[in-house]
Amino acid sequence: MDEITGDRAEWAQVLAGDGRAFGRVFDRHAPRLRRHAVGLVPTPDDADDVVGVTFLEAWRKRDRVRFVGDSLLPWLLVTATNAAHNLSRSTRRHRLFLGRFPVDDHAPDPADRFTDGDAVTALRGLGVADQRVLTLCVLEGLSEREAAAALGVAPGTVKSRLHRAKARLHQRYTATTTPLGGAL
Amino acid sequence: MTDDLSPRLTAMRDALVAEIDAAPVAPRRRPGRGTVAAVIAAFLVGGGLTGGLTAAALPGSDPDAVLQGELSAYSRSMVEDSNHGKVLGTPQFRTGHDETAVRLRDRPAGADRIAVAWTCTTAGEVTVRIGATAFDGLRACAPGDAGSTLGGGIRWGMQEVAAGRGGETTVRVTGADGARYAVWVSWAQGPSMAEPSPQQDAETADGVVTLDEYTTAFNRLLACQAQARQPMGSVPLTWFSDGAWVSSARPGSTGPWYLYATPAAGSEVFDTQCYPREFDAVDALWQAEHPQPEDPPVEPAVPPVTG
Repeated sequence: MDEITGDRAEWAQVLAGDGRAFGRVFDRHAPRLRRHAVGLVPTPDDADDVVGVTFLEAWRKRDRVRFVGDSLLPWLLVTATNAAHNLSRSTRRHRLFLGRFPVDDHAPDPADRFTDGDAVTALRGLGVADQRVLTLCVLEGLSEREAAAALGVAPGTVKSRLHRAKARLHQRYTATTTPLGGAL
Repeated sequence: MTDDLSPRLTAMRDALVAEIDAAPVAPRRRPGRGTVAAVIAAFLVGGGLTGGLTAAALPGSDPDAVLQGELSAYSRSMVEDSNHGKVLGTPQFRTGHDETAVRLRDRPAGADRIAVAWTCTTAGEVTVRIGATAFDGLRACAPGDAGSTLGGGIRWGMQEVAAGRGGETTVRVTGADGARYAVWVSWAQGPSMAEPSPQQDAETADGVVTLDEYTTAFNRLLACQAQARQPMGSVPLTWFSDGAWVSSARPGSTGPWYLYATPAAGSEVFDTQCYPREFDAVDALWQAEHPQPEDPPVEPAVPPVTG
């Protein structure tokens, strides 16, 4: 059984009640998720909340998370995208969770400058369905089949969603005359 | 690694870790006595276990518990999230080699399908059959061949089983070339799919769909989605011409098609009600008559900016 590695192996331990394994998954992916979230929400503190809510949801839905290969990151990115979209109307469960932690009073973190940049910022005005598929297929470089596994839909559905999402993104950039670069 | 995190986020992390450490482990994740009894009972009653139900298959062995959890989570996600069905009854889990028969008894009320998920644990070829029907898809596999199938080496399928006598179905798993495998089997209920509307039946009755019929059916789909409060917005027709998507017909262009994103929220309405009722059969005929380019450019026709 030694082929089960990475997040899958850690998650099996999480399912058995091992908090330290959860902490390792958190440490592995939280910085990446935060860089992603910073582009989608108004403030760095909001990005922290998105990451916290994402992992809270991962724990709540621990039996239903999806892996792509052995990685949980695509599922986490999709969940973070949803969380960023819904942060202003978070569920009572989320508000109770977030309310347990003091808000940081700190100077602007230079690390906040190192986000996913214009590409993610461009996603901010798109619908959450567009954000999810663009995050996976464009920013993360997953194949349509891999993205389908993370989203729980058929590959053909990903193709259709991606097609329309790129059209809307292109439309936004055409309107603002800002070049997006070669990724799209 | 937590040095990179803010104090607030670090506090969230530590709180979640503490919560998990303090949480009781649910029976489904650490199989209890009931699960052990069910597996042993299946072994004793199911004399068809001609091959390799191994001692390691019994709950309590962590690697198998991991496999069981993965197959279960993946299957439930596919049945319930992606296909809008339900997992019913008590799923069965086996590891084995050669041939294994997994017998599902006591069909629950409403169960009309069998859901099966399996994965190889050593290289080889695995075939899964219900009656004389084998599940399609790749059979040869190597452990961890994540790139070859959805779910990172997990193969999955759901098959209708005739209602009626017996209330019992057997799934047979065969490993060739020394393949060892793990398999998860459950009763399931498929989604309740809408029947095609009389209008859609009329549009497909002659086996040919005209552009007018394609457009009319799509507008009914939009209306259905809007009525269900899942509007799809304005979706224009799109043609393909000289290697590009265009928003109007040109000499030599192909199409047109409606290129649209299926709604992520409320996908059950789209998948089980509006699409099958108003557009599925029409779309299938139209797409067959007007195949889209296999490798289209990434930029489609862009609708005019509004507002």
